[in-house]
Amino acid sequence: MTDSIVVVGIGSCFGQDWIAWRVIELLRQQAIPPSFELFTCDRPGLRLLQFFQPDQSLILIDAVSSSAQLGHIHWDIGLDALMERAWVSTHGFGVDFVCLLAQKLGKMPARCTLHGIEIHDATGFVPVLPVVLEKAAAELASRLTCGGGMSHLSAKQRQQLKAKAHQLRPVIWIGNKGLTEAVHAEVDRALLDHELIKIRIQSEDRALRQQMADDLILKQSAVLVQMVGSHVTIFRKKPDPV
Amino acid sequence: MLEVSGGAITQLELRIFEPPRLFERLLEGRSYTELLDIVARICGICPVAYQMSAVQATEQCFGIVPSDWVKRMRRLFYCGEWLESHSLHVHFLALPDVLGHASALDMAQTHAAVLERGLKLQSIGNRLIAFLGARSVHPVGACVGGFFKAPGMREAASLLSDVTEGLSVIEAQMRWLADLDLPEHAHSFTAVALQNGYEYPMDQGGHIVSTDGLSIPIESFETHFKEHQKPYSTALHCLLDDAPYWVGPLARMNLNWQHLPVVLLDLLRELGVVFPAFDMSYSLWARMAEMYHALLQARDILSVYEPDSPRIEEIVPKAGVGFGCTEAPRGLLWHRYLFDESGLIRSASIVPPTSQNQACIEADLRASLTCFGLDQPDDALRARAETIVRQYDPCISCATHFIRLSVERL
Repeated sequence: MTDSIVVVGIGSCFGQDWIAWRVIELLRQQAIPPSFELFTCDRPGLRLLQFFQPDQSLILIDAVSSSAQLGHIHWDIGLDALMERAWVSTHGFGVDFVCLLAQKLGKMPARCTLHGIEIHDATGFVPVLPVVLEKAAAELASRLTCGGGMSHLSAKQRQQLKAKAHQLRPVIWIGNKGLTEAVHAEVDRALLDHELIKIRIQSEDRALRQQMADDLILKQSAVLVQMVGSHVTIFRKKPDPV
Repeated sequence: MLEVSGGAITQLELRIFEPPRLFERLLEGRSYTELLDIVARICGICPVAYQMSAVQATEQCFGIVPSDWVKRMRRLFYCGEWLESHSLHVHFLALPDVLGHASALDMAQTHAAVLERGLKLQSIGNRLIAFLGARSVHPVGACVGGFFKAPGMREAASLLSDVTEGLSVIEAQMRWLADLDLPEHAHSFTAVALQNGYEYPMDQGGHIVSTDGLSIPIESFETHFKEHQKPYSTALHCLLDDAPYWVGPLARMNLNWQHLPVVLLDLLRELGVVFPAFDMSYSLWARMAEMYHALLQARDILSVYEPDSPRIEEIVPKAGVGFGCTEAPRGLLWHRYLFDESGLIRSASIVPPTSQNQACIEADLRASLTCFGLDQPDDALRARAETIVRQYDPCISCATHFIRLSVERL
């Protein structure tokens, strides 16, 4: 496998749909490792497949339009959760279509992660992003360069963790109060102890569950292994002993 | 929007919801040197066609005759676009319909090899465009008088190898397609295309002809063809002498099949494919044949390729009107520009294939949905309508899978 990590920001000039281009722009302004190759794509459709090299690490960033809050970061979305998000696409062949096609045709890179930022408007011309989106772009860029983006799972690793998670029972239950500081502290401790944990989010609202899962992995620098119903499995590698 | 009353369609509107693009007005006051970069942005699938119609119009107005090398390279450039656009339509829009799949994703389960071959053809098309245009999306290599750069021999040799492989790929696709039963979709609308009497039309002019006997120079387009605004759509409707007509690969093929290379005609004959064909399902065959034709031409051009002076260095603008008309993948693409003496555009008129087909698509939907049965459930009507629209391969936003059909049954 090559050492390079290809990061592709996908979008269009319509509305806030250029948010991923902004992330790439911010990454270009930072001191990123030389192994990073940054690209922006304007509605690539199937041309996105050119970035799907078997021996490549690929990070895709795109706009999402769901019921989440403006600027919400959809961090590390697994392929199984891909179709649940409404990816912004002007041409029908969005990032979800291309990823699923690549998977079916056996073209998935060894490592591929996908991040989204929630937008609310993909029409007209918006030359300046709202502050909340600008902050989200900066946060995602920062997170990608601070290790989180690099610690994404390969398909094989994810599969192994899923198998392992099958026997796990939830160690944390998130109730009506949502993600309180106490919950975050508890999740942090559980991750330190076990690396791989299962959490139950008690909410009927699927979008809310998804949002909480995103917030959890973002806050904990963890990666999503899978989300099945109200059960979320996340993973964070234990720090190497000093 | 479909309104049905008493078992008959009382109203049918194909509403295009993409925001208006306003390119013609945007071009006013711009220099001819910016023209090709701006019109390339009109379409992400067929930017070459926009550039080539625009360059033809500009050079006609300025009295520029490009060199034979430039003419050959423009043909090669255009071949890439036919290949890339047709492959996308055939494999990701039309074939899932023919095979009864909801989308190419489902088709990938059962026909992965067919899709792989389609992606191969598309990638060759993209490479051909990037060869001269520096990139395959919104290429930047073309200019008035030629190209900014002549590609090197090594790039040409590598591309030739890909193109030669592509010929085997397209033949395999055509032989595979010959075993499929295509659904019948009878079609009797007037077809319009370029015709030049000596070769299959692509990027180098000719007369505009129709299956009803029309034959006019491209400069007379506006005398017969009129665009109309429709309050419910952001796309203009273009009519030929007040009647719907259609453009595109099958229209082109029906009017020009005699000029296909012998090797391709022989293959079509062997596979039992006969043109002219008045069945929209055959647009799939027209695209296949045009991909084969594009690959043959690309092979012939690349096999004797040598870099040469890529452009006319000194361009002297002239005031006047220039016309350009080429056969974009989706059909006739007509441009008219008024330039002033410094080469600034004073007015622009661009008639893309999709707007020319709008009225015909509506007429076809009306006839085909009635034939299909208006008492069918909404979902079935929507699926049928999508299939019909996709056969015309309108600008891809409308060709993909998101028709929102509202049916009012009175």
